Amino acid sequence: MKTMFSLAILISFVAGVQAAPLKIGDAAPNFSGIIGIDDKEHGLADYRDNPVVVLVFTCNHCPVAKAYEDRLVALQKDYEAKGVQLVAVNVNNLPEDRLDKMKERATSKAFNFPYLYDSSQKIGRDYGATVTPHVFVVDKNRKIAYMGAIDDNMQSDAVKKHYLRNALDAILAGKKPPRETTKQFGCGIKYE
Amino acid sequence: MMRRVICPFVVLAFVAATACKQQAASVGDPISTIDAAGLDEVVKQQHGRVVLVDFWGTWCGPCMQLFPHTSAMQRELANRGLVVITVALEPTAQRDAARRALEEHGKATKNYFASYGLGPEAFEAFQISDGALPHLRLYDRQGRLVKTFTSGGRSVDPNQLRQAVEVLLQ
Repeated sequence: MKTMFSLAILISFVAGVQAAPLKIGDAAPNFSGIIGIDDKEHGLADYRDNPVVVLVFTCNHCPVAKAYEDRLVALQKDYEAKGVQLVAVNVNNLPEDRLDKMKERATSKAFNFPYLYDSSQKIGRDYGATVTPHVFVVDKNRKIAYMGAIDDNMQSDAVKKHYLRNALDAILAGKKPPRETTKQFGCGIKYE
Repeated sequence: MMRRVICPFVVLAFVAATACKQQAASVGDPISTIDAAGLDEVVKQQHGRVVLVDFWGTWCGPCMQLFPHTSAMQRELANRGLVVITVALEPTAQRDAARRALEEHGKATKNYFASYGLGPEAFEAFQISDGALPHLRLYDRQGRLVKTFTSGGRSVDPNQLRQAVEVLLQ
């Protein structure tokens, strides 16, 4: 009986950890030692001089993630001078999502931001990322200031609402984003 | 004179559009679009039958793996009271790809396009909380939502799906 009780507590504890999604204003989960396509280790502390970090969970295989790649490159180009740093992270372990394939993809799409690979998937679990692409914006106090989608349409010529850009403009101006959360959508991350 | 000529066509187009909205077309006909309220209504209209709603998209690999199974269930279990409703969450520009998939797998099912295109609005409206497909909902003969199947990034197990359907058909 005692064992069962302990087990129940353990299960509820584990479930509780997994089921506690980040909220706006929460401290951004730290990460470090994550390998990038430059074969170097990266961590949140690397970007301490950037007032805003845009963490984007993405991957190679997902058509929705692919549809957003050019938009991410454009976003980094447009916001770099304002101190924004976009960091892309892949936590999927499909053959086409491995580091060598990530390097190929980043070269062919001329990524102008770090592209990191966490095969342990810990960073994905820590942030509660469910799909690719899934965005988390970290402000100068290293708190979550925006979560969700990049914009309102996978089809770039049909976009009407630029949620991420609007959030960045607000945060850089010291204001709250007009929408702090939007519904992320895309390919489910394949947690193991 | 011109106005008199145009008017009958306008009326005809309106009638056709209205008819189109009220019933899902079989493949080959234009496929109707549907929003969340419309889908609720369509589910209600199936009263007395078991309903499986399959949210899918051609961009979703696990959805395409599952599609032949839901299609087969509809063919094999329709006479026992199963209705499979498919709702494609597809970028507007890629609807032709969905039409081709429906030509292959959607002949027996009631098929719709989500009216929202592919973005957060669709997932919010249909309350697909993890933002991922496939996502399936199973309703009993009284129209009550009994079970939701989510992908967790992988395909839904067709055997589990079939077992759940069979239980409700008994």
